[in-house]
Amino acid sequence: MRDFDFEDACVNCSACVSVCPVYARDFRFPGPKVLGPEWWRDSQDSRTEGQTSEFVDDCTFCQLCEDACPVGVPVAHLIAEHKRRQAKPARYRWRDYLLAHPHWIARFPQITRVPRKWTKVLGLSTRTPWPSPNRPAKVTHDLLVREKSMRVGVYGDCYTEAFDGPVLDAVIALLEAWGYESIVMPGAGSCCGAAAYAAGNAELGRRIASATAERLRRANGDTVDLMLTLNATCDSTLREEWPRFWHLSASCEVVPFTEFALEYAPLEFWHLLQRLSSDKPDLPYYVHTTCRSRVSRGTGWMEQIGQRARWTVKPLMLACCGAAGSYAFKAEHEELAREMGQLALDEGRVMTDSGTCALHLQGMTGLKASHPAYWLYKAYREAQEHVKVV
Amino acid sequence: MSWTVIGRGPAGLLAASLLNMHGEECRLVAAHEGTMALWSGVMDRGDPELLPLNAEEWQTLWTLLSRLWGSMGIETRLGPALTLSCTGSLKATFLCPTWQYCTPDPGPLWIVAFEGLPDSLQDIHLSAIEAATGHSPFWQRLPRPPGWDDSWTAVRWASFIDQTEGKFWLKTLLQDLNPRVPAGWPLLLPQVIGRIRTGEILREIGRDLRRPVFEYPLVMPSLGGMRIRDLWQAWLRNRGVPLISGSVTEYLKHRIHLDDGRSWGADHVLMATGGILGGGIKVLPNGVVEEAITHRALGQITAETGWGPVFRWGSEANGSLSACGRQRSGWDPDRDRNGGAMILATVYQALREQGLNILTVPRKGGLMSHAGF
Repeated sequence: MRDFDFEDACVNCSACVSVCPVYARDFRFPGPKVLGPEWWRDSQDSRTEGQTSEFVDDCTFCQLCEDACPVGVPVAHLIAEHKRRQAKPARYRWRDYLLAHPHWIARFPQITRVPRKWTKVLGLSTRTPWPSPNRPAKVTHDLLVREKSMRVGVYGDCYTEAFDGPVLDAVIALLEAWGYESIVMPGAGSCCGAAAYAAGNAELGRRIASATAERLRRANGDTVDLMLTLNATCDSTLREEWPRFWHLSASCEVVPFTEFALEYAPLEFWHLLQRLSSDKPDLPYYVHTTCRSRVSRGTGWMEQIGQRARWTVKPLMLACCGAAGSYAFKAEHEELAREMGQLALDEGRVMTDSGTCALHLQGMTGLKASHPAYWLYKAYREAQEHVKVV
Repeated sequence: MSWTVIGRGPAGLLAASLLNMHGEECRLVAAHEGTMALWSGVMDRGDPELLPLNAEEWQTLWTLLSRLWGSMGIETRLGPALTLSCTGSLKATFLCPTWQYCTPDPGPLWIVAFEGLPDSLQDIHLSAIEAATGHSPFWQRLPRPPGWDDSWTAVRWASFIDQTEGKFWLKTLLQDLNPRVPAGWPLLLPQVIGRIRTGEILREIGRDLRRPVFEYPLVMPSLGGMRIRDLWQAWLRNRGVPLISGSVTEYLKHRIHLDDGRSWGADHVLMATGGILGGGIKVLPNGVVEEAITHRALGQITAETGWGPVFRWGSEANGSLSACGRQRSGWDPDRDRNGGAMILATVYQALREQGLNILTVPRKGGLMSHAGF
């Protein structure tokens, strides 16, 4: 058992229960208070120390419970420890071990084309949409700002590199257009360790993260001032779990792309987008701030992006969409994941800061869903064309 | 001018909303979700004679809050009235969401409790209601629904009743009982009638039974506060106010600093971290900022020139920083039953200390007006 802070400070207020997206929908799920602090207290008692809940794996590790706790109990991380102690069938152990290494899958993304009936044996979902390989194309583009002012790292997370290439292309293109030199780090096939931790294997997560930290350190070489993240879970893992639980450092400041865009994109860029929005009013953007982003950074940044570009923005009132990394890919979670992401939306686009959430919401709504960088770059290209025509 | 509000309880949310309505750039930052889920959502006034504003100012502030909530989809009843507390006693209130029973003249009641829902009213102060209303309530307890187990808190009951199956369970049982209750008696149900479709479900049941239907509050987690929290946060996000997660450790030279290294400029800061649990943030005499319950050190105040003695933030205005809500000294809402008035008055005062008088300054933007309704 790791040495948590305030693991015994629960005052039974149930604020954690009030925000838990699983507890609200799955009537068998005992809730974060029971599975976290109450379980932990029982585990300290020799009469009940070996007891675990069969439902503990239904936790998505969204960490909203931890954010809600007014006394700082590490609720979600206690549940992760609980998960570690829960016995599982062998096939689920193999599956979870594989899913805890998303960077392996990213090295061989064609594996996602395996027929679904084969994967059923492993306990993988047959209904949740799987990503298709889609590597970055390394596009070229016009520059808004000619002078390079700063070298910016971009954390090439495993999902974006293997399955969401257009997002990475968009980020690099935008950075270049804004006058920043970019370097994708640490290179394909690395993982921050989030998937392993979410599945309850903190030690495996630490080992995976340590290897990535070393690659980051070598890739950076003190040449990068800050590193942008394109996935909220990787972002919060790098900035919070790394130093807090694993004593690791990303070697530079870590900032979500969205906040960087609001702070550093030049005025000309926004003016261009605003002009297009004024001349050609477009479909609304439904915004889903992922649970991990909400916990780690807060909400409202993507809405600000939309407002600055003068788009019509509609925030979605979803706590967790059900994707939760690899959660929705597990057979036993597919129904609940679908229920959590159930939305009836009019025509529009979905903007969200995670590739797997985008994939899940796209499947649930039928609307194109992607990262804000993708939508910004798309609008930028359209604005450039529009200006030429006008 | 840029503003930062610290704290995500009702005072923090109200301050951020008023700033947004006045076209001010505002960020809301909080270390935790806030304790809205521990409160049913009624706003108490207490003794109006003891309050520091005149009657007209009060009326404007209360109407402002009522309209603000209305714009979020929270209908309210405004004016002196009585409602039930979570222990079953009648208590005075001034602004109450219409889902909760609230009337200036309490009469006979039909009260229903749910078997398996802890803290339903009959367990405790049924006699208090009888004494207060002068009528013996018609009281019944509905049996547990199929699928119930002892992990069902109020949140799960609400999710159940949001579903078709749950609504059917409730309506069927109530329709059977309805003929036994005198016509016109309002029906009071535990505050678990849906998490998101409460008004719609209450109206539907009311139409079926041909009588008014309300909720009565339970102990935490409270659905009333949760509904308001979710709608209020969505309203702010919709209007471009970022709700930032993080612990503020320092406010120095007009910059806010968080424990994870983030920082931004803020011309004015409003502290609203008192906490309904009596917790929140405290500042010790040596300037150390700590969480009141766990005593975890969050940071250290570095005084700007003229910072003055530090005891509890907000006890007095300090340059560009003011406090509102429970954190501001001179209020004891648990004793005086004036939590709503405290929130309104302290937010108003804190904004005014920082140069924005919301009762006189014309509003720059937003959906509502409030001066001279």
